[in-house]
Amino acid sequence: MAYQIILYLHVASALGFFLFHGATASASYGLKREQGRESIKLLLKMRESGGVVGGISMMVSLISGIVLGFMGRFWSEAWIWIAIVVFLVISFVMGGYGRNNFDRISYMIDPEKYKSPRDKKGEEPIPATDEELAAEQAKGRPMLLTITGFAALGLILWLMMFQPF
Amino acid sequence: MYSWLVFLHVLGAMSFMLAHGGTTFMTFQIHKERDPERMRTLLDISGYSWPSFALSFLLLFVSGVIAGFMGRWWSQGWIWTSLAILLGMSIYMGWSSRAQYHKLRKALGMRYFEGSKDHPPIEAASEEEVLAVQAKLRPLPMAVLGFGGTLVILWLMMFKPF
Repeated sequence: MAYQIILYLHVASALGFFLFHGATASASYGLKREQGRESIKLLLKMRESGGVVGGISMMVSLISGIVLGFMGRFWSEAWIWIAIVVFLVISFVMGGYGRNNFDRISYMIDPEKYKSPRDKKGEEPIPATDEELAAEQAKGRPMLLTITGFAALGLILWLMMFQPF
Repeated sequence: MYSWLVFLHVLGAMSFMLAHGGTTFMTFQIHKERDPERMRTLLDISGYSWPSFALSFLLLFVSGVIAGFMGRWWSQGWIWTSLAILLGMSIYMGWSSRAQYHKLRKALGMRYFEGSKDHPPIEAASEEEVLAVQAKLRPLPMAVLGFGGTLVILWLMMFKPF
């Protein structure tokens, strides 16, 4: 029964993670389209709030998953390790690519709030022009991130449900 | 085959939550906004996720119904209860969204639904009128029903208590 309750917590927190991660995903699609600086600021806020609550849900899902691994004695099986490796790789890929684009746009919109390491050394932040901002927005690839994330999700879910090796 | 349908059902549920993310943020953020342009951005973002929202709901629903037949679950109470909760949530949320957010879309001069018809944008209302419509927004009942209903459905699916 305890195993079932923790499994419930694991799935519920994963659903919560996807709900809040959806706000970040919507923000990345919106950033490709929106041009007004106020709208872009709002989308950056959307990304930040999705990231904070999504992060908490992900931690609960991760911890409950580790506990389940011990309770079900799965740590000697390959599928759970492969699922963790896929999860870590996709986190680095999505974080590295998606977050860099968000961070550069954040800095261009509000260099005072989002200081880069160079600014912290004492150099004056230079606000970006509308053209520079539009060029950075155009670099975002939300569809590529969606497809990559969805493929990884499918693979992790398959490993968890079928436990093939 | 049954396991693959359950796999698709869970994948559909996760995609459905992902597609709901933008709308969830919008419902909590929009009543804090005072700038009509920012309100339009939020309503637009919510509207753009509609195709992925509909597709994932279809995947979730169809795979669930077929898995119900393959697993011979239709003689048990939990599956009917979860179906009733899902349909109840969908009807309430759809109605509530039209009653609240489409009124705001209309006031902001955006495309909107009224009754069962899609209407083209009309001239935006004054700022006072927009703020009056915005003041009537009630995101909490929708959120409580959405989160609570999902947790109850998940419990019914996983524990199959009756």
